[in-house]
Amino acid sequence: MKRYLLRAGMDRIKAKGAQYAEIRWVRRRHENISLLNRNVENISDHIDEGYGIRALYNGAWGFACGSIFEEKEIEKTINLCLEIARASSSINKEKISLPEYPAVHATYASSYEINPFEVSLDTKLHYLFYTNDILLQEPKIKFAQSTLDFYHTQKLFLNSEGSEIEQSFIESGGYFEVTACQNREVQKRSYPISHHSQIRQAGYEYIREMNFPENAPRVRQEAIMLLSADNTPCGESTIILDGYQMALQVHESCGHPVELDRVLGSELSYAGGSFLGLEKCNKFRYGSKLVNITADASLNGAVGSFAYDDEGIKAQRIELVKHGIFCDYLSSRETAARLGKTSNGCVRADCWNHIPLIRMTNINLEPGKTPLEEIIADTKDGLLISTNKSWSIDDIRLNFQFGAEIAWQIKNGKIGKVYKNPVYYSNTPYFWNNCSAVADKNSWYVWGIPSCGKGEPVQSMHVGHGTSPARFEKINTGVKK
Amino acid sequence: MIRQEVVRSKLEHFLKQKGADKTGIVFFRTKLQASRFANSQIHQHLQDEDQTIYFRVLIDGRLGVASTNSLDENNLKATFDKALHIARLRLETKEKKDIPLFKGLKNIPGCYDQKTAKMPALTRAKILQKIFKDADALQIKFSGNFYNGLTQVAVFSPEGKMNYQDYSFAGIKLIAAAQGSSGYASAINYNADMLNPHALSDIAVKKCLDGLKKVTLEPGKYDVILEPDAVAELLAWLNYIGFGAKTVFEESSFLYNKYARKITGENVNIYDYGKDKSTFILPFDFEGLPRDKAYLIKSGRAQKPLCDSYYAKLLKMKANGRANFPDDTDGPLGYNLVMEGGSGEKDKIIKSAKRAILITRFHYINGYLNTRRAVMTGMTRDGTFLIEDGRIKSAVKDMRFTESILEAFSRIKYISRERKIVADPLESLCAVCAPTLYIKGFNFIS
Repeated sequence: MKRYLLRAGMDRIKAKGAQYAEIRWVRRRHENISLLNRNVENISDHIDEGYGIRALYNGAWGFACGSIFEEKEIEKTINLCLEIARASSSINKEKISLPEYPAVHATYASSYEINPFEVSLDTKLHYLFYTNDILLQEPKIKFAQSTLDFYHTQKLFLNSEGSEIEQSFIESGGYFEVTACQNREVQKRSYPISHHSQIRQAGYEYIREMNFPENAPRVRQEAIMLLSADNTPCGESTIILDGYQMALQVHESCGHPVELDRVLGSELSYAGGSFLGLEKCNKFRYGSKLVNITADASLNGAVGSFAYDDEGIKAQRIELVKHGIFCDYLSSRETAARLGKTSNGCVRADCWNHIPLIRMTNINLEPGKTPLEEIIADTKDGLLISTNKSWSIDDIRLNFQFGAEIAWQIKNGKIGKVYKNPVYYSNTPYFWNNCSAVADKNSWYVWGIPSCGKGEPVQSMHVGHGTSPARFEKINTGVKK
Repeated sequence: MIRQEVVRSKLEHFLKQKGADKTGIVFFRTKLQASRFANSQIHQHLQDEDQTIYFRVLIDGRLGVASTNSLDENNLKATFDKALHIARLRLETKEKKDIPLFKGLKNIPGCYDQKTAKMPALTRAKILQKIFKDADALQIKFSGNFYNGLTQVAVFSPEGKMNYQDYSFAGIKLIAAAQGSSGYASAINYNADMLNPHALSDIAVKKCLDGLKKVTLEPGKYDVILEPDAVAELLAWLNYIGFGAKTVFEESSFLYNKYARKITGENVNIYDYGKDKSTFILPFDFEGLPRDKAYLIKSGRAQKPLCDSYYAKLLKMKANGRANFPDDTDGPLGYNLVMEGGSGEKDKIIKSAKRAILITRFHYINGYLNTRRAVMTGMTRDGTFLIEDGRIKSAVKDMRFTESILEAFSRIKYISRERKIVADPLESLCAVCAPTLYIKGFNFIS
């Protein structure tokens, strides 16, 4: 990257009449190591680098990008960006105007102890081979997959207000899953999350902290137990969701519907809208009084954290739901201005060639005051549901259904038998208003999801969720045939 | 477009670099522009391009993969060296990997239209302006996306052969919305001139107006008429959870242990074929092998899965050219899925229905509930109607289905002759050619 070329580019785009402009350079390295049984499925190392230019011209947006750092090429990208903005402007009836923000000069680097890119591949492979050896010790376990992912993202942000912000993020994560098979039954268990790596802004020390080898025997045994378990009963039930399932629940039924661009209709052509219309802010009872949800972009170690967002706005902590009342959105410069507010700094792009969008930062269910053990002891008849398996929610984020890997019966305050294929479904406000307990900070954990999809072309964002397990009353479980 | 001679000249010499037993290279590039709109205003207007160059280096059965988006010689050399370093790691692995050799394939002509690939923002904007203006009179607002671009793929074999293909694409998605109702229409083609955006806007507007007064139906089993967009989403999920060799190897696929056994009704025929122009062609896989026609379900009976050279060894079958990207861990997938048409006509199918729900498309399907039975859940969206005695009686509030798609495909009463290509190159390479289906007793849970 040649910084002076980008600075010169900013000068030129201003001279060509842009009302507001940003140039964002990004370089990302991603290392993935994956084992399936005793074989290496993948070891890969990818580097992607380029710049994106977004400009507001005559009240309309244009965006163009490039990956060749030469003056002529950058000039071409600037011209294309403005040509696109002019085309938008030629048909749009409403003109966008952005309030000015003070210029920022800052550098930031996320913290870590051990740079994962300096840890040898041998060490990483040994960790995964050892994990898979433990997982494959039982004959009923037919498949064991374990994965590590490491990311290093560097960003430079320049804008026409004079901001220049440089940020660097190191992320580390991993997961494993086992598949148990017997006759026609196939069951999977995963740790610490399913389908993809659990990631943190951290170094290799986080891989050690997750401790795959210590958790492998328990996960393996649970997969085997599922082979002979009964299906989760159909009917209305009290359910306690574990931390990771809560993370998905918060993600789909709170994180997405509070995105202000979605509320204003920007995502209708892809992922849909939101039931949390503008008239509901500060009035709508989203959940019971126990429900407090925040967006915190300053949470140390969480993958939705940063110093400044991709519009140069400082990271913030926002209350989204307070004592059950819905009270704020995730916003950008443009959407906040439409409400007469300032941006609360939730804009990110997943790479250099994509436009910045409103994205979840770290959307957290704040911990309650009751230990999880007491919540279970206080539950007469219910289910403890763990580890997401499937997720689906309607286009305004109301009607949802989740499946999980495993459930345990709770009878008279005690954990009982295992059930397979747990499914629950409900409606967002009904569900959250039936929240009867949120576990305390001792079981609060920060989850990191690497694959939140939004936008066209689709962007895959790293978002965080701090959650503790929580209990909900009178929820439909199972699927009637 | 980067000319294929340039691609060759930049990459070919790495095949002869010392230190590797074999080297393979994949080049993949997309370049597109998109006009996204909401409330009949363009709100996101963009150009997007990126390319990835993958080096696959083999040493003693061990494969190293490294990739970059830069064609700069120094970056390419550093990336090649990284792949070499990975392949040199001493591992005690059971299965040895390989980079297969392949026969050179000719570029399939007629898939690239320069005007489509390069359609400028202003052209899209002017077409949209007319659509927005016409709908204003009806107090209807449009959301959607109008995009165009190109895809280029090249795969180099260790002995220096290069398979290369390019194609252009243009697509439009329209959601007409008014007073809590919405209607969807879409089209995609190699050539932008074939899209007919104004006819699509008429369809979306009609669905929106027909949907203004909605009734609530109780959960339960209903006959359904699924339009091609809805069918394509089900097929895409069948692909993801069960058509590929990895899911069969892991015993989670509905094809596992079912070869030649009946898994759906006899009227169901689904195949994947890289040269089928009713999808977006991808005549070879990312190992360079031809994506020959491979039935997944034939006359209702399970066929062999889609396979690359690695899983071919594990499953003791012949690779049928479905290697995925070199760093992918999902395993082989179909990118050119076709469900064969029947003898029905959509209008006649609707007229034949005594009581059924007509579904334009689904939202947020998830197929992980029970992959052996292909149990999926999802919501209806943007145009759901109750048909009684062959006519639309009313619109229906959106509903959630949870259903085994194999079992549902055993209850197909009619399959339309006419089919539609459904693809979203802004999300995935996969394209599906799907008919309209009439399915009896589809299960809605809420």
